[in-house]
Amino acid sequence: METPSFMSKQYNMHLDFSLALGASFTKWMQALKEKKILGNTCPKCKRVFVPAKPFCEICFEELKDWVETDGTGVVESFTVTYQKFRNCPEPPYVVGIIRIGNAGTCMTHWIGGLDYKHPDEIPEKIKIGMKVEPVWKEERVGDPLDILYFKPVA
Amino acid sequence: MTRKVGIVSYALEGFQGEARMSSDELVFRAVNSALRKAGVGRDSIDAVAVSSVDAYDGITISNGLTAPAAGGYEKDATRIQGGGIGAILSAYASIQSGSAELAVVAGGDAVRYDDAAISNASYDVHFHRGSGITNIQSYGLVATSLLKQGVATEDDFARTAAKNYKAGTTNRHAHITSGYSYEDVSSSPMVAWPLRALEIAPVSKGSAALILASEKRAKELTRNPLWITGIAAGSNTYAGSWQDLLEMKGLRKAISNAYKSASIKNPIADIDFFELYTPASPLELAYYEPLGLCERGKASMLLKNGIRFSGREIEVNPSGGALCTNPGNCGGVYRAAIAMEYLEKHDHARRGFIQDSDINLGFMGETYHVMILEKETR
Amino acid sequence: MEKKAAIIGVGMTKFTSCRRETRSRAELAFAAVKDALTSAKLELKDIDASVYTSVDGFEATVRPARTLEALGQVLNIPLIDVNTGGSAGGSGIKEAVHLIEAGIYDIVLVYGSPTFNSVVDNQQVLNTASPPIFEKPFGIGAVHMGAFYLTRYMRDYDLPEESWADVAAKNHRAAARNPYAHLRKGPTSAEILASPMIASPIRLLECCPTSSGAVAMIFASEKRAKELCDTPVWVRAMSSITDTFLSGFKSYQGFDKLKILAQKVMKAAGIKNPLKEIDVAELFNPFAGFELLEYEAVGFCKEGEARRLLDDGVTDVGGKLPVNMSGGVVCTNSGISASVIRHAEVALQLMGKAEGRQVKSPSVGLAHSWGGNDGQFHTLAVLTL
Repeated sequence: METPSFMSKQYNMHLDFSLALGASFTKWMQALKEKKILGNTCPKCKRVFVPAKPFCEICFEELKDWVETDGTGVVESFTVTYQKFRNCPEPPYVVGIIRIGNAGTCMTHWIGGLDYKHPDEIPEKIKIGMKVEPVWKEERVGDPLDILYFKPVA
Repeated sequence: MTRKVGIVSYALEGFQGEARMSSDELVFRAVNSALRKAGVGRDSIDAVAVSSVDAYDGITISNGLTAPAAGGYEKDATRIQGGGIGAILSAYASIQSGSAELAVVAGGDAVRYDDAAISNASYDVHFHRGSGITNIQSYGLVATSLLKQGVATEDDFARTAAKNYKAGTTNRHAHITSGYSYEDVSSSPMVAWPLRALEIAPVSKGSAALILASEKRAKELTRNPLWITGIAAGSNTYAGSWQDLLEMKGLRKAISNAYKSASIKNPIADIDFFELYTPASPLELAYYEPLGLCERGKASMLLKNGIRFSGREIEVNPSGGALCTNPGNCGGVYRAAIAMEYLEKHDHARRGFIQDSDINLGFMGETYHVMILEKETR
Repeated sequence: MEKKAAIIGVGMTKFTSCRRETRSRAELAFAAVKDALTSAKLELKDIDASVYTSVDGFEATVRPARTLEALGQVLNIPLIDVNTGGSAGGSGIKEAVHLIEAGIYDIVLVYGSPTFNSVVDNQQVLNTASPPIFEKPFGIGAVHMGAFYLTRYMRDYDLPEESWADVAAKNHRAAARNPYAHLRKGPTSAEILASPMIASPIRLLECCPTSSGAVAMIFASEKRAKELCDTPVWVRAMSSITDTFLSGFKSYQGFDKLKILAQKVMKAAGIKNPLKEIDVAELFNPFAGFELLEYEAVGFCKEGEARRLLDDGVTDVGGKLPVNMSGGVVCTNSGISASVIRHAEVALQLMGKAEGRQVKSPSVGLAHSWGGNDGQFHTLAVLTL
C-alpha cells in the first residue's frame, strides 16, 4: 500500500457559555414581552440608544434615563442573502439596519412582509429611508426574536 | 536615558461572587472609576490595551466588545492575549515610544465557562487534546516533579494553600475569603494527584483597570505615581517544556531581565513583596528558586521559616493570590492593581514584584510576564 | 528623540486554497519565518521577541500560538499574542514598532497565521464574532456586514453595479501577475457580473476566497536596520482606530472611522496630498468594492469620486497610484496573514523586490488593515524608503 503524502483530520471546538445581561439589557428585553421597544438616553450627548445600552461609549457616562418609542423605524441599509449559510436562515432573507424613532443608533433585524417569489427583485423593493414597523410573535419571551421581522409601513 | 512610565490610577470591580452584568459593562465600570480617580476624562486617553482571551469571553474577537468599554471609541486600541502584564507591556511601549501620553489597560471576566474544557482546547489537537490533559493536570505534572525532585512535600502544598487563604481574609477584593485552614485543605478531595481541590484556584468574575502615563503626565496627575522600573517577558517552547517542568526557562529569562532593568541584585533585600500567579499552590514553591528567594531544592525550608530581611517579613501573595481570586482575562491587571493598593497602604513598602502568565490555560508553550513597581524616591 | 523602526525582511509562502492545502500549520510557519530571516540575513538566535497574530475561533484552538514552535520560543524570548480580528496583522505590526521605538527590543519577528486553515465553514465562525444576543441570530457573516456598506454607497452615489465588477477585475488582473497570489485566473468584469449574487450587491467573484499560506516580517531598530539592510523600509507613521461593537451603531455611510484615522496618520507622516505623495498602496478589500470606499476614506479623492479614479486608471498598473498590485485580499485571503501581507507587499514594492508586480521606483507606500465585527478596527501605516 502506498503511503499518502499528507493526511487531514477533522476536529471541533464545542464549548458552552452563559452570560448575565446586566440591568439595562434585562429591562430592554423584558419590555419586548409587552411589545414595547425601549431606548435609553445619554445624560450628556442626549443620544437615544435602541437597543438600550449600559453606557455611552463616546461620553463615557452611565445610561439611566429611559424612553419608550413607537416601535417604527427607517431602513438605513440592508442586504439580501441568496446563498445558504450554516446555522443561518434559509435564503433569501433580508437583514436590515433599522433606526427606531430618532435613535442615535440602529437595530439589526430582518425585513419581511415582502413578496419573496422573485428573489432577484427584492433589492429594488427596499428603499433606504423606507419606514418599517415590527411584526410581533404571539408568544414572547424577552428576546430580540420576539419580533418576527420589520415590515414596510403601509 | 529612557523616560519613565508610571501607573497613576487603578480600579477593581466585582470578584466576590457571580457576575451580574456583561463583560463590557464590568470593564466600563472599572475604567470609569479609574479615570475619575485620576481626574481625567475619556478624551485624555491616547491608547487602550485590553487583556483577554476569546474563549473566556465566549465570542470570537471579544475585544470588539470590551475595547469601547475601556474607553477605546475612536482611539488607538489593541488586545493582548496571554496575561494582563502583557497588556501593560503594550501600553508601556506605546508611551515609551512616544505614541501615547496616557493609556488605559483593562480586562473583565463575566461569562461562565468550563475552565478545564477551554484549557483542553488549547492543547495540540492531534497529539495531546485527546489524552484529557487540562490546566489542572498540567499543574499536577509540575507538582509531581516537585515531589520527585525532593523540593517539597504534599504537606507543603497544603500549607502553602492555607497561607494564601489566610492572607485572602484581609483582602476586601478577594473572591474566596473563608480562610481555609491546613486541615481543610489537606482533607479536601483529591482532584488530580497530587493536587487537592483546595489547592487549585477557583474561576473569578470581575474587572480591573489601570491608567498608565508618561513621566510628565504622571507627575501632573498625582503626587504619588508608581513607576514601572522593570517589565519583561519570556516564553517556553511547547514540546520542549514537557521534559523539564521545573526549568521554567521563560520565567527565569523574564525575571533576570526585569531585575536587571530595575537594578535589583538581591531580591530579598530590594523587594518588599511578591504577587505571583500561582493557580495551584505547589507553583508558589516552584517559583521561589527562579525568583532568587532560595537556593535550588530549598523551597520547603523557605516556606517553614518565612522570608525575612532585616527584621521585616517579605510577603509572597499578601492578597491571597490566585487561590483566592483568579479571573481569566484580567488576572494580571488585577494583581497589578492589588500591588498598587499594597504600596499605598504600607509606608515601609517601596517596591513590589508582580508576576503573571498564561498558565491558566495550562503549562507547555506558556509565556511569563513580570513587572516591578516602585514608589518615587524622595 | 523618538527611535525609529524599519522592516528589514519579508518571508511568504505561496498561497493556495484551504481545501487544497497539504502543508501543516507548523510547516507553513517554519517556511515563512525561515524565508523572512534569510531575506534579513539573520538567524533565529538574533530575534529578541516574536509577535503572533491570529484569531482563536477560526483555528479551533485556544491561543494556537502556544503550540506553534516556529517563533523562537526555544530562545525563551517573549511571545506576544495580538488578536484584534482581521486587523490583528496591523495591530501586531504596530506592537512590534512600538516595542522597537520604545527601545525595548532591537529585532522583532511578526508572524501572520493562515487563520482559516482548519475552518470547515468560515461564515459560521464569523457569525460568532457578532454580538451574541442582539445580532448573532440574524444570520450575519462578514459578507453581510460588507453588503450594508456597499448597498448604502450605491444608493447614495448612484453607482452602477458594473463599478464593483470593474474594481474586482482590476484586482484579479493584478493577482495574475503575482506568483504568490491564490486566485490567478483573472476573470473579466463581464465574467464577474455573471457570477452568482451572494448577499446583495456582492457577487461571488467580488468576494475573497479562503486561502492558505503564511507570512513573516522582521522589524529592526534604526541602528540594526542600517547595519543589516541596504533598503530598510521605515515605518514613518502608524496607528489604529476603534468603532463601537454593535453593527447597528453605524450609519454605513463610507468608512468614517478610517477617514478619521487617515487624517491622523497622514498628519503624523507629514503628508498633505495623499494622491500626490503616496506611490503605492495596499488597501484591505475582502470584498472588491471596499477598495472604492477606501480611496475616499484615506483621502485619495473626495467622497463619491472613487469611481472616476478607477475609470481613469489612476490606481491600476502604470497609474499615478497603483493600488493592490498584489491582487488584494479579494484574490488571496488567508485570514490574519492577509493583514500582515498588506504591509509585506508595500515593503517589497519599496525594496524593489515585488516580483512580477513591481511598481516603478516607489518611495512612499500606504498599508491598511480592517477587522473585527463589522470592521470595527482599522490600522493604517505610512511606510517609506
